[in-house]
Amino acid sequence: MIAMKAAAREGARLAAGPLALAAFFLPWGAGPGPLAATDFSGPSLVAFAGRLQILDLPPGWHAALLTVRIAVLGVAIAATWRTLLALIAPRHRLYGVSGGYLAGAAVALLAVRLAISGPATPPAGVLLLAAAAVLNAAGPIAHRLGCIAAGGRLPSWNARPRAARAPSLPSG
Amino acid sequence: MPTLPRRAAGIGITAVLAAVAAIVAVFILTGSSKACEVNLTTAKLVPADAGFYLALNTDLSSSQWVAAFDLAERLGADDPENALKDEAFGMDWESEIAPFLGGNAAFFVRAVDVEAFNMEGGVIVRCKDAVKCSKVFVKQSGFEFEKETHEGVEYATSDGGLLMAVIDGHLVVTTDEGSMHSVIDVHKGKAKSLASVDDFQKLRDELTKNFLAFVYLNTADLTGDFLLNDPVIRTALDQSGTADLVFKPMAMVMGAKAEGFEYAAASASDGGTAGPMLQPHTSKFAAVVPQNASVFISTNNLAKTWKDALANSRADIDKAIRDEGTYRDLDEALRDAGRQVGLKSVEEIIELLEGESAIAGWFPNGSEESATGLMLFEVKDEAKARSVLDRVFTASAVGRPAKQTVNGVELTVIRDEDGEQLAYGITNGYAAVGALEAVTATIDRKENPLTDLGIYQRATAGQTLGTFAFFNLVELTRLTEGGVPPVLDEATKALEGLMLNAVEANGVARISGLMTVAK
Repeated sequence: MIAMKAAAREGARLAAGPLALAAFFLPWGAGPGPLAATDFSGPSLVAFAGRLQILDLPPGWHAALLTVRIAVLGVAIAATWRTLLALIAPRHRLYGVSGGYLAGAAVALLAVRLAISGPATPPAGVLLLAAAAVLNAAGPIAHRLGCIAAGGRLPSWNARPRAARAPSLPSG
Repeated sequence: MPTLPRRAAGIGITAVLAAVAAIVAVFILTGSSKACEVNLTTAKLVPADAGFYLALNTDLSSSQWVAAFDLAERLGADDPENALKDEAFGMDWESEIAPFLGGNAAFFVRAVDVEAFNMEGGVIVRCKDAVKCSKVFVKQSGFEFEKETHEGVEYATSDGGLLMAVIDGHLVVTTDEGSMHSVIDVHKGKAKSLASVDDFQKLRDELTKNFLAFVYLNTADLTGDFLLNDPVIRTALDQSGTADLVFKPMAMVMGAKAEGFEYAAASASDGGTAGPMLQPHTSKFAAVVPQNASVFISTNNLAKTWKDALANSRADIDKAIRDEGTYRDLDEALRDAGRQVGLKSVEEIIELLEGESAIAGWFPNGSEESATGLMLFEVKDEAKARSVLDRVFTASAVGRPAKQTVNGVELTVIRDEDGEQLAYGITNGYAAVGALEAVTATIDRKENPLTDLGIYQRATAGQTLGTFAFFNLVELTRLTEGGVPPVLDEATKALEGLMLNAVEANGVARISGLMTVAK
């Protein structure tokens, strides 16, 4: 039972990054007004903000659009980091940072969707990003709950379970 | 002790992550900019025998539409995006229009029967939701539809004469059964599509793939036997030397970019006898004429073009002149015209135009009366050029020609019968001939040249120039007898420059136009 729980936790930890990366390329939502036919995903949002940047816009708009482009691009970068670090270095500082970024992006996207479309089912990209954020958070939360239940000391949010010791080869 | 290796590993991983971030950013930014190209999925369903194909970019978030809406606003339109949505042909934008906006839509014609006033062809729309589109079409058309099948593909015929099918995410509507069957055959791979036609591919590659509208025209396919077999029309086209241009396929694109609206056309034929004029060249004279030149036209190799044109059709021209009755042939006509300006033949002037030739005109006081201008041409044999120009000036002068020096260059100045002062000067390998004021301003070089003018720079940016004409619309739209008009409408105020260009490259003749709009 404990082994199954650990395996599930490990699976969730490894799946969060790829899920977020897939979410980046899936639709995040249709545009407003005349852009109702356009399904924006991460790359198309980066491209569209880039197209708007070439226009003669009021002061501050260029900076705002650049910020949006970088923030959206950040989702792909954070998802890639999360995927790589989950495999090779889960104790690296950027592992936690990328998880936090993805969670923040999911919350922000859900809030924007709620504001635009009300309580409707979000598009696949938003759902997947939210799922990745839940998986990111599930590991540490479950671990902390376990510690509380056991009456032990709370670990830091970025703490990872120690790597299992390699099984020793049977002698003889 | 393991601190150092762990620290080094941490730094190494961080460096790898930074590199990964850079790669991801470059990959996404490059990939998203490629998405600007319009994928003509409709051309893959249009039959290869279509003689006319008009495709529209229906992605309103594309760079073309973003630029077009911006230009419309600069030309005075108030919130054009929402104006488009609000008009919506009386339909609801989100439920009845948006499903049709799947990237591209096309109108095609396979044949025109002029005598029966009939056309075979149709419309193909790449839909976001093809089934929803078909429902909207049925509702809006008001026709009764009946199901039919061809090659296992369902389509519907209507009492209104239109046929409809949903094929591969596209709504297909045709005017006749033959066209519907052809589209289905193309879809099933049993017939060739327009996208697979060599000329279509060649012309599409020659022109930009990012546009608002794309037009392909193959007159031979379109008119079929009606024109090709008509001996009178065929002979007339052959004799005029335009048969190639008329019957070779051509394509046009219209689009928008940050600077303004653009237009380009290309033909599957080369420039023909006009080829030498259409060779790419960098205009030396744009860097010589003053920047207040409102009109600037530059061409190349006029002497060779003239020679080639005569070699190809001398007999036809001679016959036409003889039929007209005044002269026996072209030579006699040219000799007579030459004698009137003190030359043996007008060809003496044409022979001088071996390199770049240009005409520039401007309005120093901002009024039509103040118009002035000149012609510039490269001079390879200065003695020959002087001999020709001296004879022309002596023959045209009232009184004796005078000499005047401007910026160290000797000008020959005359007053013609209308009292206008004309001058010519030769310097730095070129001759300037025209109104004294214009020649003086050009040779004096006190003003910045045209190439320093932002409007000219924007109109020519990124273009390969052959024979071209530049118009400064800021100057030209403000010309009236009384000077600057007090009220210019928003659109006229925003117009900046117009560039028309004809160039031959890679064996393809291209004509393009760009109208720039002020920010």
